[in-house]
Amino acid sequence: MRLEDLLARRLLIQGGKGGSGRTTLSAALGLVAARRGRRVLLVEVDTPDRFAALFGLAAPVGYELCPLAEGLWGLNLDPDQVVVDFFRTHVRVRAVYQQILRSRLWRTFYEAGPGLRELICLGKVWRLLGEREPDGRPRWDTIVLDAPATGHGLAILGIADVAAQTLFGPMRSHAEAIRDLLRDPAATVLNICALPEEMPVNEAAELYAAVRERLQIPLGVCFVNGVLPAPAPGFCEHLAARLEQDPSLGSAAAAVLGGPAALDALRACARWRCARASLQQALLQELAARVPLPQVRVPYLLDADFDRRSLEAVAAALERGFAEAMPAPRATAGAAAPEAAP
Amino acid sequence: MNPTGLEQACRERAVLVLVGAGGVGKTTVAAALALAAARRGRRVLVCTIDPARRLANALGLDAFGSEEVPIEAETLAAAGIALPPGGSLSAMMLDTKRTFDRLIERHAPDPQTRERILANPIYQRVSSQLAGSQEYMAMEKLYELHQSGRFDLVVLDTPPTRHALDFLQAPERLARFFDTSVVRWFAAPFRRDGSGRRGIAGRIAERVLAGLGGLFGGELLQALAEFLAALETLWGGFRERARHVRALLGQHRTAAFIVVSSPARHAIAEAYYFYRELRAHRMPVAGFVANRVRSGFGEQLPELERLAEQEQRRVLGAELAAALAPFGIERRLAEDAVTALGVFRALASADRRNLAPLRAEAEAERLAYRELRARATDIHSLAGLAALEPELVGPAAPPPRASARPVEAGQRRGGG
Repeated sequence: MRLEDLLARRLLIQGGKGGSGRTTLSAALGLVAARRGRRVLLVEVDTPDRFAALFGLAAPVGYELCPLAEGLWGLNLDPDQVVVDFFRTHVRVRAVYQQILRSRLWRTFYEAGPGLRELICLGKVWRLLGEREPDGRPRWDTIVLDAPATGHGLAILGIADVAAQTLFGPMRSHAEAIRDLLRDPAATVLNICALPEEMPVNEAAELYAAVRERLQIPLGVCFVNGVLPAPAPGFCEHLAARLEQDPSLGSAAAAVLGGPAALDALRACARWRCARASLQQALLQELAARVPLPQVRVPYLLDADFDRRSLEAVAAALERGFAEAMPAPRATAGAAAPEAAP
Repeated sequence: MNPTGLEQACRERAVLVLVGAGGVGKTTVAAALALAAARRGRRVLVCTIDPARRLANALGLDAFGSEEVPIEAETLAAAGIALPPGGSLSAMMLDTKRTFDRLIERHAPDPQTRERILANPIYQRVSSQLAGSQEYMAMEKLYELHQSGRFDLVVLDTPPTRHALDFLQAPERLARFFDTSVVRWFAAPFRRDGSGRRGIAGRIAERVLAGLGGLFGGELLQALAEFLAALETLWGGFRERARHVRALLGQHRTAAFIVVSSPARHAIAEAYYFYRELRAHRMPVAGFVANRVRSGFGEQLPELERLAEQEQRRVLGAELAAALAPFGIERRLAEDAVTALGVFRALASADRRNLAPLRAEAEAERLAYRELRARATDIHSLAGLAALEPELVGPAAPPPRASARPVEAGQRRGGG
């Protein structure tokens, strides 16, 4: 899948385990789309804002449209505020919806009731997609949604279907419309974010299986974040091994580095990389087998401060990653591992 | 800083609760602490939620159920672990739905009520999805296990939560959901015998329900009301047990919370948030565990400081290449080794920098603070868990504040 194909959809959803880089990737994807001339809205749901830091803004992104870059806006959907919005739209009579919102019954229902917050947030995204300019054009070309971490992300993405089967009345048609949008391959794509580590690979595979079997949301690519650059070919066999075994080679290295402690550091680093490289390769292959989507690899960022610089680095890596994306699930791990960002 | 904090917690407490951001390794730390306690002669259960598969296998949890599985002496022996007399290690995986079912089986007043609840379509659909039910069930199970007296120590790995206090507040929220008065009020207009409430409260209820019914469909509300009416007999118990669990966790001699973090900034921020909320609720905090800390890459060595600059790194790479050429090492390999050391050294320095405030906080508050160094490969065996023990509960490292040296000592110890 080419980047252009991905950006042809109007709703781009990023799902995956916490810490797998969803937020940074979503932001970078939004930035890339905006730079290609689209009007893009970047949305996070029910989470402390992380967009502001990425775009170098002082104040957090909240429930007001916030300009992030040329052609790119941000929005943080706080369910409590979305709910007020929701009632305002659907109940209209102010006295009535205020009474509902204030009632203990509603609060109890809302706090513990399954999926209500999620459904209402998804409904908001759906309404945003439907917004139009005075001239009739859609207000947003693209909405990039940073879905909550997998378990909860599955809940939010699945809730429309459950609601369409359980609810009656206006909420049912609402839920059906949301579900249909999520399943429309011309409109929506879900990208899975993963890391080349054991747990995130498992979670990515579970997310993939759940989406295929239950949610039926069209799938895009698998973003693999934090890919460590592979050691130079021959490094492990020819240098790392001899650093451990050859004392005279070791002392020659120690003399240059400044002493035995520095040599230990060099050895530790070489050992670590060689062990990690084979593990990473195995995990990338496992990921390719269990999540058979094109893999777009994003290298490990050295200065992962999650600021504007990291964002630009990921955006650049994304463009590169798509150019080098493995088209088929066949894994050629390591071969295309790009250099770490400076 | 309390250097013996975690060691003492393993020996003396009855409940340890691991909290922290998702993906920081809570499960691994929970399992390693449980093993350490078992090696101190205690009967220990580690209760995990969704562990990585290979770790589950290592713990003997390949059969996923909500029953405790004792880890056999032979399994432990094969990993080079011998438990002293009296010591035992069991593990279990929490299954929210089954725990909920069992709760209803145990507390339903009669078989008809039990069957009615278990067969209710709304119960089947929502019991594992009710917001907070996973947290509630973890609490419920914890209380049950603690009360049973079968274990000296229960180590609980908490589900990842979006908000720090979810774990503590979810039981109360769920209890409130099942609160008799609210649900009665809710169910009243649907009662077929017409015993619905009258008066102002009743009229408000009807108006609210009419509003909600218009949106969600009256049929749904009716089904929900029936489901809640079926559960009515259990409600008193829910609230009562939520209170007990909370009291149990607040007992400073019995329970302790351990906050786990990775060296990533957002994980540390979340660890702080957890810590402050726990303190605000007067919950006993034993200390912090910083997991996957990259160290041992010369970040303390002045002779390697020049690696921080690109130009100097190139010079050093050329020097190493020249020194190793007589041994038949290709130039590009020597340069690769130096470049990579520069990267790893920078990563390790960043980890130290990021963790410094957490460490200082622990020191100021006399809490335990332990670092587990990052391994190149994931930990997924009993032997791997046992290898964490020196770093986690072993003899305390000297205070790290004075200079760089004590940390080096820590690395040497950890590197064994």
